[in-house]
Amino acid sequence: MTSLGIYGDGVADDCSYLSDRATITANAWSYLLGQIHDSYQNYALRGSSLYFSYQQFINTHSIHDKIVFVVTEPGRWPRSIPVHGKRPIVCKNSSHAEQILQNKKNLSDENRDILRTAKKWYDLVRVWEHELAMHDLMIEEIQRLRPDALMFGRDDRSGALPDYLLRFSSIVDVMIRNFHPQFLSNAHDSMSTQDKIYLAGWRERPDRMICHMSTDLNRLVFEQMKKLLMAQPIDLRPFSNYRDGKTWDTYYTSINRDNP
Amino acid sequence: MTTLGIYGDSFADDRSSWDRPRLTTTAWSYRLAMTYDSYENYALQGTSLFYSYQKFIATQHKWDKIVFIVTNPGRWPGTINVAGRQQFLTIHNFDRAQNVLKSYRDFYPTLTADQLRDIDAIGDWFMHRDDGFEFRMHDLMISKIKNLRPDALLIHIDRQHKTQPVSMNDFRMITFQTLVPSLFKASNNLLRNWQMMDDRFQERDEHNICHFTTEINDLFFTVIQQSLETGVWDPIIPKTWPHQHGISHYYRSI
Repeated sequence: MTSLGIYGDGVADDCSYLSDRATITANAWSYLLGQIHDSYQNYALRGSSLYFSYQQFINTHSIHDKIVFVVTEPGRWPRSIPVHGKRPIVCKNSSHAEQILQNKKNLSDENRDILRTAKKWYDLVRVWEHELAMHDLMIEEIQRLRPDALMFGRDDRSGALPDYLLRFSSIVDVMIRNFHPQFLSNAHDSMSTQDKIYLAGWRERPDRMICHMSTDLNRLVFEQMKKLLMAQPIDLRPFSNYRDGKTWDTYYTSINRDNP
Repeated sequence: MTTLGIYGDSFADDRSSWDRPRLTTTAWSYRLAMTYDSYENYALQGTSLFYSYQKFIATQHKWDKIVFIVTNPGRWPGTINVAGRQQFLTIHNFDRAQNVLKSYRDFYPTLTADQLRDIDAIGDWFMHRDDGFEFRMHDLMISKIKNLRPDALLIHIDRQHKTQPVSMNDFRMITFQTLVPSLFKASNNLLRNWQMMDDRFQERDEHNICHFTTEINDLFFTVIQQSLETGVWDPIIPKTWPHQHGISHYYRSI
């Protein structure tokens, strides 16, 4: 009996707990990977920090035979806000904190204070060198505890991850490149590709996108991930050859008519 | 040729600052350094473990012997440059942020409006930071330091667990156990740890350095010299130690 544990952020979260993703969850690479194991648990949460996943990992990795860990970008606010019966609230950047404050009307005063502080932390207090160093220390600890874990980076800014070739940012970028290359993140950016798209006023269509990818790309990731878990060589050609005949509007919807 | 690197916060910082002339030559860290062919004391008052960790990562390879004073978890990892000052401004807790905001005109008149706004935000951060994260990252940094330099002497400000060897504050407590023994009688439930002590007594800068009296600096200097020879920090320390003066010479009552 093999058991799989998946950790990470929005790139690994199959969003099975969200009603508007009900029709697409089963297309998530992480969901598909879970289905080929006797048991699995997906701990990933979109918007969460590496520390969130690290904690989940520390508490649960021993119950899983196989581990897939998607390492989110450095510098996310580490504190999550527990919500009874639901996934905790996390905030991945300053504008996200602001958005939660505006949209969640039933937040307690204490939780509002936490989110206001998180926003100020992103804007004023965060020490980037500290974020990078702690990011690396957490990665080292995960690798020490589970040398067998398959670890994937969102990007290569920290440099602490093994070069698996399969970086999620570059996979997600396969989709974006053909439509709006200006959104592509690079090593010198403080913002991920998703954050740039979001700030420009675009939202992923919940019925078309899961793990920040189209269903076709999810299938490709699943196929390669399956090979990695079986210690087989992977083939990256399907990614570089990937051509999507659809339009930007298939995957993204504008919340602002002034957008390109 | 034997060389020494010292890392830490105010417990190892032997420097005088502009407003706090100090007894540098009586500091244990200064005296210890004088027994080596070359040394560098990287310690700076008010700094976080991350500050010392960064210095350590960048410089530990230069030193044959290392003393690392491990400050408590949860300090803000940054420093603030103050125009016209050589030393950084550090904000190590919420009260410090509030005090700077109240008294900056007297002590830090060159702080800009942006810096004051940042200090206010740092104060908020102290109120709402994730303590679990702070403790966990603290442990990871210590593990990394031990991993890189198993020979380094690591001495904590406070014991995180009862099983840990004596801490810097255990040394500080000796002064009170010697000069105000009534505070420690079984019937007196007043003072058992440094936080409680801090609320009642304030150091006189002219008679303390590295948070120790001259006499405790002497004792600590002797103990750490012996520990550096054996490479192990696990000293047995006395409950009391002779002091030349009464408590009011070293501390003000609050």
